[in-house]
Amino acid sequence: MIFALLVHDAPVGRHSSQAAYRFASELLAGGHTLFRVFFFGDGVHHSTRLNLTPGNETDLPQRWSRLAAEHGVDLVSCVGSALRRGIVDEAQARQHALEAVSLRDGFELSGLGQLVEASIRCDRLVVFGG
Amino acid sequence: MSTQRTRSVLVVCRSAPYGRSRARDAIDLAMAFAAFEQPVTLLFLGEGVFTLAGGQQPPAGTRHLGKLLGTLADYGVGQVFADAAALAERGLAVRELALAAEPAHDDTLRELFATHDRVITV
Amino acid sequence: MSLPARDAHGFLLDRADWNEDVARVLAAEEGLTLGAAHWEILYLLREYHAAHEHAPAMRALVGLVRRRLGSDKGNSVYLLSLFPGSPARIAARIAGLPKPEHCL
Repeated sequence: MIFALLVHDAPVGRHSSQAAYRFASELLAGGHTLFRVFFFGDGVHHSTRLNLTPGNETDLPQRWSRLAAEHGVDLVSCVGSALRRGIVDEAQARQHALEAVSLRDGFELSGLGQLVEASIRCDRLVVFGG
Repeated sequence: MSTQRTRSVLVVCRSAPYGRSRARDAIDLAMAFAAFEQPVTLLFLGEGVFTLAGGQQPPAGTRHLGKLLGTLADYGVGQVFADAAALAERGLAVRELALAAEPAHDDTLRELFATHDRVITV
Repeated sequence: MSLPARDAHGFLLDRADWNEDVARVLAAEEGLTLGAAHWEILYLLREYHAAHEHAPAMRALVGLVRRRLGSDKGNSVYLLSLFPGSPARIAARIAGLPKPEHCL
């Protein structure tokens, strides 16, 4: 079965965010396909490279990045949500003369069209957050 | 990207506007799906019905969501529903809403959830 | 004339700075000379923005023009003839409105 996830909550202090990651890992372990994880609104904070997570807490940005590297999962953060929240890739940093890049490896910034495509292509779209 | 297939989407907003970005996010999602030719219905439940209230006075520097709602039809978001009970509980009269939303009672709500391919609740 | 302050994409930072002279200079940057047909669209856009605080993306712009000015004008070809390239974006800039938003 082909899944897509929509993650709407920030990684810190939100149970739904942990649940999203666990769900993604489990469905991959179960042999299903994860077509895309789309991060929207506060969910774009999952795609930062600049977090410092205490050792006894789950570093979700790092976990997602590893999941992408190991399983080829497509991780997309909504560019509109991301820029407002200081999640910036190289192209945007250059274009807007911002002093740093904050997007973590393994993630890309793109528009809501990627979510729409995921909605069309997957069998199940699961929403986390809200 | 192939847009030959469509999946009908129900975007559900349960959050009041302006406190967090949820209501705005719901509107943006609905507009995006509609812009890509997906059949979209927008439903406001619970505190979310405040997004439809007329006479909104957003905090300075925030988008006026009542005014933004007026653009939905331009993007092809045809149907906007609001939980009738939620409206009544909050003293919001249908004719005073910022947008002509259709009040939905339990049977309509059930049908909305049952008949859409995707449900996105924010 | 020197233009009022603008962002990195050439959009006015303060919409209150807009006037027709500013519009003519902005249009000239695109190689455009504004005629009655342009002004009709520009003022329609400004009215829409005043009502909705939103600069319409292409699809919404086409629909808006079609509703208000008829289908002879409410189509991509006509709008592209007036504002070549990206009518929604260019017309918004010349009209002193903010850039139509990213996600669409």
